[in-house]
Amino acid sequence: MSDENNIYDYDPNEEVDEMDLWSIEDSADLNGDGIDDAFIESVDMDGDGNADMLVYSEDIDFDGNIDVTLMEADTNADGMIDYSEARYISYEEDMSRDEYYVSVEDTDFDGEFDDVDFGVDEYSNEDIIYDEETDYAEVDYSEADSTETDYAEVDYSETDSIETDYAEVDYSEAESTEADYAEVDEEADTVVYGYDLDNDGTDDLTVSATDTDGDGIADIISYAGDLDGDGRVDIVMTEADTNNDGVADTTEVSYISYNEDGSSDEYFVKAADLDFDGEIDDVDYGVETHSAEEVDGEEYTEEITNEDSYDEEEYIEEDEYVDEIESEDDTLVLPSVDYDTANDNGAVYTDLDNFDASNADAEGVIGEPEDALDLWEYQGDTYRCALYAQKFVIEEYTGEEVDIEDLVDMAEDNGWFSEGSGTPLNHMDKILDSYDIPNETSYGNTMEDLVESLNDGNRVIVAVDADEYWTGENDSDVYTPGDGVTHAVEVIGIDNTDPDNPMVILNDSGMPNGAGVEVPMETFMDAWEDGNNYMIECYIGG
Amino acid sequence: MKEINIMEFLKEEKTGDFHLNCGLPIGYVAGFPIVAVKSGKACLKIPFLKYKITGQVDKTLVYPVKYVLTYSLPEMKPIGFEDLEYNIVFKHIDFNKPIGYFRHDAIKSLTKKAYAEKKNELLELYDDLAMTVVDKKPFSDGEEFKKVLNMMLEPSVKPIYKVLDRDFYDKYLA
Repeated sequence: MSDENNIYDYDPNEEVDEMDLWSIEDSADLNGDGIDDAFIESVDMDGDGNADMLVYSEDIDFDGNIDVTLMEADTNADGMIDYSEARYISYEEDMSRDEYYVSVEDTDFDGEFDDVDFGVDEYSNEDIIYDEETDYAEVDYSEADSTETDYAEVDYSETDSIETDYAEVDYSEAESTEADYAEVDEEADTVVYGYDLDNDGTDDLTVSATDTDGDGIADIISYAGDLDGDGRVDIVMTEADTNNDGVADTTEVSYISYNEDGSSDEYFVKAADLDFDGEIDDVDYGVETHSAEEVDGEEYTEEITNEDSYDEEEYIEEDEYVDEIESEDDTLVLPSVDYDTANDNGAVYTDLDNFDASNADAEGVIGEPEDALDLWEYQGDTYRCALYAQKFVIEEYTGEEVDIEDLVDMAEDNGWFSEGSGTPLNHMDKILDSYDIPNETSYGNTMEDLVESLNDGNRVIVAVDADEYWTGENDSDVYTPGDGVTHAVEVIGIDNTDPDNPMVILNDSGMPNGAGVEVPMETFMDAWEDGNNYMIECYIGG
Repeated sequence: MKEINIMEFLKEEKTGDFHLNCGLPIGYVAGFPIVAVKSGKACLKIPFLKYKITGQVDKTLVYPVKYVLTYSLPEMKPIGFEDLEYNIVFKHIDFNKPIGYFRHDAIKSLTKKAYAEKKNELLELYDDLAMTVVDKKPFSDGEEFKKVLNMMLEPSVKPIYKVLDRDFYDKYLA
């Protein structure tokens, strides 16, 4: 701050007696726990009855500590904001803290911001900003101006704030201590509130709440302020609940400085709770330059076409990002799921029967499924499906039992398989090769090709998307979002006992009852198609 | 110029020579791709991850993205492969531990068929986005794309997309 012109000798970090100078304009309990989390406070520094400083502060993770503050001040009491600062506060366990800030100042009070600063201030746990013993919720607001309601219900008639919201929002049933950010109009995705702080009839601060998932609860809150009254936003703060768990996990504060050529420099501080555990674990700050040609909706393309945007100092290439991570020893943290797969029943198997030669029309059966049934084994909760499929063929070819663990060792030693992830498609025939079993791999096969191979006495291994037949029909609620090969099985026959409902007979090691499991041909084709009809023909027949 | 059809490309890609030679184990399937720019040139980054059906509704396990295959746009020429296990950003990630469940809240009403239809709709929007990036034109459906993508993408993998491409994440997932 410019001390020369600061007649109040104001130190933003100095502990103040809030009941003397500070007036709580409004506050809100954002998570409904009975404790206010967000505050707009005004300070009348010269005692003339007009606020000279406005502070917005919020406890975004609801831990009782203020995390974000936005402050703007008229330090020379000329009616114009000449200092503005945004801070993100990161706390350590011992309550020491790092405050990431962006500040702008009109040092010569000509209405133009001419000094921008950003960085980080470190404080020990002895540097107190707020009285730790004072719980905002316990403060007696009975004589304060705050009405303890949602923003849109605050009576600003005496402060000349405009009373008309951009959207007609019904707050008749809203209570600030219980409601989420806003009772959003069902027909509107975004609700915007406006505040005319300088009484010129133009909003200087807008707050917008956006409901991204249509559940009636705002997930993204943005605050945008025009500090110098030129009609352009200078300060933006956005917080978002990206995983819709009711807690904001991403916050970004930006100050935008406009240049004479129409370009702008955006000084930002970003904080994110990457693993959604309520703790901020990723903080970034810096400056981004936007060209004069950028407009909403075209920013992405404009950054691409403007080669200047790829200046090394401004554009973060993937490698540079990694370099930043390496130097900061800061790595990705992901959420975890505590699910014990050992006790689940595996896939959902719907209405799949097993081949029974005694019930089949021998004339309608293609292949030799009966001979293969006894070779089937269950792979359990492993990724060994391709090894088992080859094992079934090898044992039939050699007439000797093969220990799966020997195959695992061989495959791992040669890089054909990994216990933690399985077998790549182009290695599914490697064990067959090692046993000198003649085989041929091909794609784009038809059912006719498969039938012909079985009729020739071959053994056939295919790659399928097992989801197609493990989880039932298209009205199923159990499925995966992926489209691709997930499993390897041996096709041991075709059962045309019912010509109108031909069945493909599989030895499927991934199913507890997978010996000779019968899959409707149409369903099998869907599963096979996701692997582009991949097939290994093993020539062991006569 | 070659027309972009990402849905068709993803179908063919999984048994294409590049994919096969990269040695991705079966079970790893393509997630929603990233339309990116590298050195001023448009490209398509395809993340690969695996899922595990437990048999319980909305308890299909989602695992971290492990592989990324990158292709040029619109030629679809392979230009990159990465096993994220060797990326220092992921050094604390156990790729065999699930990070979330499917279906997530935004799509719990979608059956298998309905999900497939919505996915196709999103992939068509991807085609439009990719064309605009290649042609360096404005993407008029940006808001719609962002809306559908955020609906369909599993929330648990979103942080990974931020690492894979900050620009794409900031534009459409932040």
